[in-house]
Amino acid sequence: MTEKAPPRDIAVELLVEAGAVMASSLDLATTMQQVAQLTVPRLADLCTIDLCDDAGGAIREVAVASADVGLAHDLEAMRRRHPLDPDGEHPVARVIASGEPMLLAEMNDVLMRSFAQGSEHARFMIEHRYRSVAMAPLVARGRTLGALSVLRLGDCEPYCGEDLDLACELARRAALAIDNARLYSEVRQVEQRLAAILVNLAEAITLMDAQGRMVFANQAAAELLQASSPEELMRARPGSIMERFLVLDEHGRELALDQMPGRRLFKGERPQPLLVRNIVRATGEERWLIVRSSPVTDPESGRVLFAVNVFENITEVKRAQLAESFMAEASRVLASSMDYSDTLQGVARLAVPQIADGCAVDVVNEHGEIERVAIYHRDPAMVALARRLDRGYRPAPGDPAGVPEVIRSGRPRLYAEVDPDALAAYATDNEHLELLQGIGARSVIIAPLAAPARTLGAVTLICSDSGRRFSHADLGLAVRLARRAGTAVESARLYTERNRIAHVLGAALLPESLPAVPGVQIEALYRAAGELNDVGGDFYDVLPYGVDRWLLVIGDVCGKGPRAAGVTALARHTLRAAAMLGQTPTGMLGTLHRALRSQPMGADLCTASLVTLRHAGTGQPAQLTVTLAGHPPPLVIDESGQATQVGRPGTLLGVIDPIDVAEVETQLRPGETLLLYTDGLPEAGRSDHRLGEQELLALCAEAPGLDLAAMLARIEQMALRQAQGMLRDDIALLAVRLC
Amino acid sequence: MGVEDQLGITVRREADRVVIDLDGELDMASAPFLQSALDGAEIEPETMVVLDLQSLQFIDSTGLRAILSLRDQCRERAQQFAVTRGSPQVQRLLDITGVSEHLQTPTA
Amino acid sequence: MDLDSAQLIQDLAEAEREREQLVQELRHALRGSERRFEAIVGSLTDAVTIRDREHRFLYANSAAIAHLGFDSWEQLRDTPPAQIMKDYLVWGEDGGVISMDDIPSVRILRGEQAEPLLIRSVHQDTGAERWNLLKAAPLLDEDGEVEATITIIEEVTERKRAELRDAFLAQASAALASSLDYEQTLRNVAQLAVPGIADWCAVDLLDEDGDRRTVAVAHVDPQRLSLAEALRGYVPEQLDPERGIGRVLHTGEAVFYAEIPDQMLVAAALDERHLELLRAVGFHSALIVPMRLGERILGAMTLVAAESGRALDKFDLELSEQVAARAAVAIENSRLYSARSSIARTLQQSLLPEQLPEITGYELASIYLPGVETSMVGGDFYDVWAVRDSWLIVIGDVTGKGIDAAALTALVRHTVRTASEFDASPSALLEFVDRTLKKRPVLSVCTAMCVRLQGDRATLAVGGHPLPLHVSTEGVRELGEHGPLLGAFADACWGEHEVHLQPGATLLAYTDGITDAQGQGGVRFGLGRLREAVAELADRPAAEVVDGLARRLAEFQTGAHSDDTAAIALRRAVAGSAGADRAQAHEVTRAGSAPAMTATKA
Repeated sequence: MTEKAPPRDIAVELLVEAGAVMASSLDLATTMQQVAQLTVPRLADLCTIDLCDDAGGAIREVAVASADVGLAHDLEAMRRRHPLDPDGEHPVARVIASGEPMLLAEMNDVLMRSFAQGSEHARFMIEHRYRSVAMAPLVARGRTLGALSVLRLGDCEPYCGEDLDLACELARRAALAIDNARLYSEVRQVEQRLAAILVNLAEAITLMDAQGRMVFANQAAAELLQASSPEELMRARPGSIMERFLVLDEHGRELALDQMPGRRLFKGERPQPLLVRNIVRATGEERWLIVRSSPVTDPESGRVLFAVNVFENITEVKRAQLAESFMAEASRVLASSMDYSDTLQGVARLAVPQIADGCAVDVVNEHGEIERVAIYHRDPAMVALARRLDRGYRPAPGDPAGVPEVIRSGRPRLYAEVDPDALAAYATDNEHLELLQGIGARSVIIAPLAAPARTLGAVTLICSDSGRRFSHADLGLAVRLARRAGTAVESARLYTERNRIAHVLGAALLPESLPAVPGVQIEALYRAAGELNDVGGDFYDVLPYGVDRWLLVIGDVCGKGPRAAGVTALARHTLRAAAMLGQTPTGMLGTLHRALRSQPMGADLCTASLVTLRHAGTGQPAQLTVTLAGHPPPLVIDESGQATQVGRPGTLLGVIDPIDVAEVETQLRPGETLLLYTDGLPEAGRSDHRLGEQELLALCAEAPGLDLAAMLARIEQMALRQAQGMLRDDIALLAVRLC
Repeated sequence: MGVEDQLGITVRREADRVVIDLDGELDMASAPFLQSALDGAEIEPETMVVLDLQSLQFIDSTGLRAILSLRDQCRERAQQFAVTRGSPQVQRLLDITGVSEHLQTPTA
Repeated sequence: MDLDSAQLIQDLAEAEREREQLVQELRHALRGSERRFEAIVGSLTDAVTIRDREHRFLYANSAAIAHLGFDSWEQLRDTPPAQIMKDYLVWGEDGGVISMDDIPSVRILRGEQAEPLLIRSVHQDTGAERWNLLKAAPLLDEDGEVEATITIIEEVTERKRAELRDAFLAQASAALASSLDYEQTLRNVAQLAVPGIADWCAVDLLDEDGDRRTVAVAHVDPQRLSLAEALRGYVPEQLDPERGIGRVLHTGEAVFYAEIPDQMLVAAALDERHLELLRAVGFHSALIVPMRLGERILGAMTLVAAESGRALDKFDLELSEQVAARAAVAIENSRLYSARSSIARTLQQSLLPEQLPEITGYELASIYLPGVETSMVGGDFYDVWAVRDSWLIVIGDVTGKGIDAAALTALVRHTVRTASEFDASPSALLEFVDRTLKKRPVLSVCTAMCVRLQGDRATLAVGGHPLPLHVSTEGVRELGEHGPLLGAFADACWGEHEVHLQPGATLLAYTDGITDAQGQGGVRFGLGRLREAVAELADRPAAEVVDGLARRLAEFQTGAHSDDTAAIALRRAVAGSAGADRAQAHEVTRAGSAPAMTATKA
């Protein structure tokens, strides 16, 4: 039985204490329990605080207080078994639903049964002699959060309106406290989520205020900015962190702090994402980053409070892109010419400064020596220094380290950080060391120029003054570059060799030089059809033949390529030997014919024209003997340009037995020109559009006005034009003019 | 062993001649060095050039050709050219090919 | 009311104001947190989602909404989880299919640790492919229970592709540079491209006549290759120069089909069966790039995306062009090597007799072992021919190697043959060759030994060459006397020496490649060993003599020989023996190094 105390005092006391309790803690459960406890026994025998879930869902009891602990427990248990139905008739539910307080001053069994949540609940209330109840809604920010109920049991003073007012007052404050607690919980939750996200993000994120202080940074940011922890970043003086780096834009120009997007946000700008190249000053390590900044603004004033900076590390992708475009460019340079010392110099220039400060290429020459074929450096003074170094201290194939070692092993070497002691040990004398130190290489890569069968040389890359250092990624690119260059060098060598083969074979087929015959001008021209590499089947010669007599030879072996070249060599040498032995033209052709016939493999056909020339004296005509074997007849062009064919057609050599050739005598007068040619000339052009004999005769008309060399050049031009630049067969021209 | 180790070339200047001393093997790989040695020696015309083969252990046809080429070059420069006898295996080739017979031997 | 109460009420009001302020601050903080959250998470390019214990979405930033293929948060929220990502096929890094159970956030809900998961997804309609790294973390409530999971979906497509591309390019380059057998390397490269870069890869080459040949077709499933086989039957004789591979081979420009709709297949099909086959491939997109060197088109490389549903893009095109460029260089290099070998081989063929002739009453056998150097064409030569009543055998060594030596050999051979028509005496022949060599502007020297056989009489002259050996049961002796090198000395002359060959006697001529051959410890084979070797074979047929000699040499020699080696054995047949009345010619060459020559004739 409670004593009725002066209500106002109780009320004030209660409210003050409740205020104290609620201010002391934001822990919802504790607070509510304490508030409920306060009302007992002053105001009530039993007090419950019920809250409803968000979205008007279930009703949950958060506090029960009673002087009788057992009763409190039982009520808790009851509520757990029979939670209040939010849409039901229970007065608490109706208070929550309506948001209005309710006073049930005197309750009877009938009333209680009417809103009980089942018979057990009814029995509970009746047994415990529920008598009077005042319920106040917990309202905050316009929302009903629950209800506070005070209950008197048994014989007691029923609640009156003032009690209800007090309950409402208490409830109002409790509602505020609950709301605070919820707000606090929400903030905590948002913060927790943000933290969880930021920790797991690979991207580095910082939050910067208008003064440039970092108010927040995640772990990735700490790592990117070379700090031991996010806290270190946040403690640092504004701008001091960025001093650790050299920040460049993608063109290599240095960026100032206020050009960074975050800073620009505070100036009211809306900057685009910025691609930067960030170099750690201490180690030379280089990263490529995309910096994106967005503002956190104050909703009321629109002022930018913070800048959120997101740093995306695209170093790998960027490196790969750069590497690809570099390789493509290098490939282009290497493919541009067969002169590999040129192209390698081009590649060295390309590599600097894109991938290194200095680049040199060494190649093993045919004597087994290591020869430098290319050198380039950002600083021209270094190039000169490198040259001095190379001249004075050429690496020898047997050296234990450096380029020779890489060439021997075929494996690349990366010296990420050159050790001064190792350098000193490598130097052979003081001057050598001085030169090496002058170059100042801090980081070196040596990669082998690899061809399928062997290592042809090496590419050396150095970082010296730029502050860069090489890493394994750089090594990968250097190896690819060197391999590509190796292939190019090998191709060039093969190409050159093929050319040389052709050249030498060609030289075997053609006379090294034409002898000087007194009183007679001689010129020759040879134009190979198709690719330079294909050795031709035409040959010509001018030989001394007895006293004051010369032999002019022109011939054409059927076919092209090495086999034809072999037969051509046979033809030429056989004719020369026969001439030396003093055979007659008929005899020589016979000898050649027999030699061809005695070749077992297939039929080797050959045509030839032999012209002997005996010179009498100045102003005198020269006597000619013309013998043809299946070859176009030579032309005698007189001083007016009139051309006449000379000689009698004879049998092709090497096929039909016996051959039928005849020597025909004729003369060459002073001023006249004798032209021997192979059928590549009249055959020039497409089959329906050949140069033909007539054209040829027309060409000859111009002859007297031109000097011999010019005449042959004209003829060649005509033929090429006729053939539209693509001859099907070689052309050999031999011209003699009597002065 | 590098190519340079196969053939040792020493150029000595004596009163009336320049002696090129060969030691080791004169073959396809080392023959080019003989040519460079002659080029590098800068011998004045009218001087006798003597090729000392006494320490030469081996010679093949390329080496032989190199010697003959040296002879031709000396001839062009109006220099006398002489070749000493070589070690037994070298001398064999020099005899077979008639080099010993047809090339001058230096007077003492 | 008394003063105390008034004070109390004032205090209460004060306390209330403070509480109000606290609420304000908290609200402000919450808004601040939410704003900050949104500012940071909202602006991330990485997709971030938060899901509850039932895996329903609680939050998704705009990147996530877009990633999952939705236009708004509401749309995403209202879609049942099973429907999300239904438009995508998803595989793990190893190619295995990914199910919901593997997703990190689901695994966290199950109470497991979840490492980041790399997935590849392809949109079923567009074929667009993405690579994502899924990272998940739990959000714990006050009791330490998992109340939600956060998933970050990192966009790594470009990085992953760059990785795959690098790997392919590196492997393909290495393969192409590794061997001269370019057809094999092209097959290897095609295999490397599948399935990482495409589903099918094929390589075609153009030969010198302009004919197209498919040298490689690759698919990760070998069983699908039978489709390619079947389709090959439908390749037309003449390729259409306007379309497809015909166009690429004709113009040297790449062709790229981002999409291949069915009507394209219908248009290309020659008949029903062909159309069936084409459809069976499942063409989705394709590209064909030329393998070219400057203006020359060597062939083409084709990539096809089919059943994976991927779409090939510009990045694949660039990659293929790079590989094709390298392939072209590799092919060219190989061809140059082959061409050089074939030039050399052909030259060699023209420098040495194709077959040894048969000399009545004699056995003839030879060995020729070219020196293994890069230039391949040697300086040794020999020849056997008939002039009127005699047979001539000549053997020699042109100083040097390579093509220059070959050219000189041609000169000597043809000159000596021609000269023999006039004067077949060995010393005259040597003299003639000497004269011819001296006419050349450059120092040209060679050694030669010439034998003229008339009946049983052998006349020989030696110019700078090892003396031939006479081998019989009575012993081994050198024949003739040394004469000078040819082409070297102004006052050279050569003497002749005559010997009568008894039945069973062998005349062995050789070059210094035999005596100079090096064995263990750098020791030379030398004349001594040669004499021993042939002494043991004194009464054997010529073929066995050269075989035996070759064998002894091979046993003795360490490493490859750098100089040419040649020898000829001429044996007067023994009366009544198998070879007495018929000539025997036998040649031995080292397998694989010289052109194949005919074997023993009996």
